Amino acid sequence: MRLRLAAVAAVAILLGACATIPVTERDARVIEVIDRFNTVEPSDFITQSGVPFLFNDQVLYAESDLVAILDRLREGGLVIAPRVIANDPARPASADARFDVQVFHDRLPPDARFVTVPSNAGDVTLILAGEANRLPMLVGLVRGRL
Amino acid sequence: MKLLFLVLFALAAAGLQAQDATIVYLAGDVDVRTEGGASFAADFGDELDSGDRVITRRTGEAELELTTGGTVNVGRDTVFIIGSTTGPTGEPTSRVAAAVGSFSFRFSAAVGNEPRIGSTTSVAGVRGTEVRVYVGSDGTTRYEVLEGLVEIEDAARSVTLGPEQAIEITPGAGVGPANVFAFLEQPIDYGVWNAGLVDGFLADPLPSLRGIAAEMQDLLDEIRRRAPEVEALLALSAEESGRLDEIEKADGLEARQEYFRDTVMPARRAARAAFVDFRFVVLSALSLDQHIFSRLAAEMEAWAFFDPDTGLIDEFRSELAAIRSQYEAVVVPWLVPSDLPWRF
Repeated sequence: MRLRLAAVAAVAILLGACATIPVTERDARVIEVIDRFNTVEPSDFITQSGVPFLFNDQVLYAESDLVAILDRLREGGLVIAPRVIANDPARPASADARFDVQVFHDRLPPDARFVTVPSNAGDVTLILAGEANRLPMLVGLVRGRL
Repeated sequence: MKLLFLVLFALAAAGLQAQDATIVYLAGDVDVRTEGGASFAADFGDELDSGDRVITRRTGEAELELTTGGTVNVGRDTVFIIGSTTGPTGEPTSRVAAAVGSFSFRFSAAVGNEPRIGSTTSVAGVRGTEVRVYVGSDGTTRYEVLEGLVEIEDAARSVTLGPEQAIEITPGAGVGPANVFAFLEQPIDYGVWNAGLVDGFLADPLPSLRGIAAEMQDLLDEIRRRAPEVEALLALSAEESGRLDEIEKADGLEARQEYFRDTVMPARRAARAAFVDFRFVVLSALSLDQHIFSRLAAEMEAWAFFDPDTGLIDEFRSELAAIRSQYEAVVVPWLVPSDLPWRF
């Protein structure tokens, strides 16, 4: 009986912990977003993304601009590998960053993460923040490691 | 930046904002970003002031009635700025522009105080007009005149368009009669037109960048030239307001009220008028950076994503960084973080 109670308590604690971990920190959910990025048309992927969007050091404010850039990357053949190298909390922009880039970083919500993943253009950093469709939202894509 | 916050708050609180437009129709996703930086979903009947921006998303459209007369239909995917300026005889005149996207304008008043219309890089005067304006992601502005006359100006010269005439003005290229052409009455497909402009930019990016940089330089020069006058008027307004307590203490409440009416309010009105006009230029520079430079630079970064060290991208980055460093020094001190849109 005691053993059964302990097992139930352990499951409850585990479920509780899962419920409080943001989706941006769950690698399995991140990989689902990567899968959508690689396979879904950019005009549909936009529901999993959001503006402002940081692309390298450019902040895009219009959804149509973001779709155009994602289209351009798709045409160029960008494929992101479904493997997480690092999943770290988001950090502030460097002190010499432009005003718009600093504001972008300053306004990232507390669950924002910098997730480094491999791609056929080298390692890229995905900036994930918030949640849509029970998955993290992609709000930035930066070449290399942030 | 803190000073700017206080100025915006003080001038708004002083009740000096004049309603310049009203939202009379909405469809889809439309936001309003006020001069003071507040942002909210647009609604029927919302009153808009100089310095406010209407931002339509991919599915959004809005119709505005301008207080000075005229109806504006703001198309999808458009950043639309409402401003005001002082006309040749001192009367307030609306000044409306798209930073990117499209709008149409129809003047509806019998007697004219027609607004100035255009983009962040081009301005036109209108006379009894129905006109469509498209602003591409490379800063190109296209005017199509359906009725009346439109006079498009740049620093060097002007050109007048009549019905069924159109013109496309490329940043930095100036206007001229040779650019005028006849057009079909059906509206163009903005997305197709804009994609063509971006492809044209990518085929030869540096001349386009230099043209837009020249337009930004003009805005930066105007901000530099006008900032001292605006700062002086704001300081005078603050100084006059600050004397009210002293006057009341010395000469009583009636003297305070008289001073407020005869001295403080005119000073505030003058500061407000100068600031609103100035702020339109600041927001034009901001919009040029946000919607033209950023989009084109992102296109270049996407193009070079697999090979980021080509000579062309280095040259592009270097020239863009040069103009943006001036932007950071001249424009950013007049911005607050809430001038930048945010929602996800």
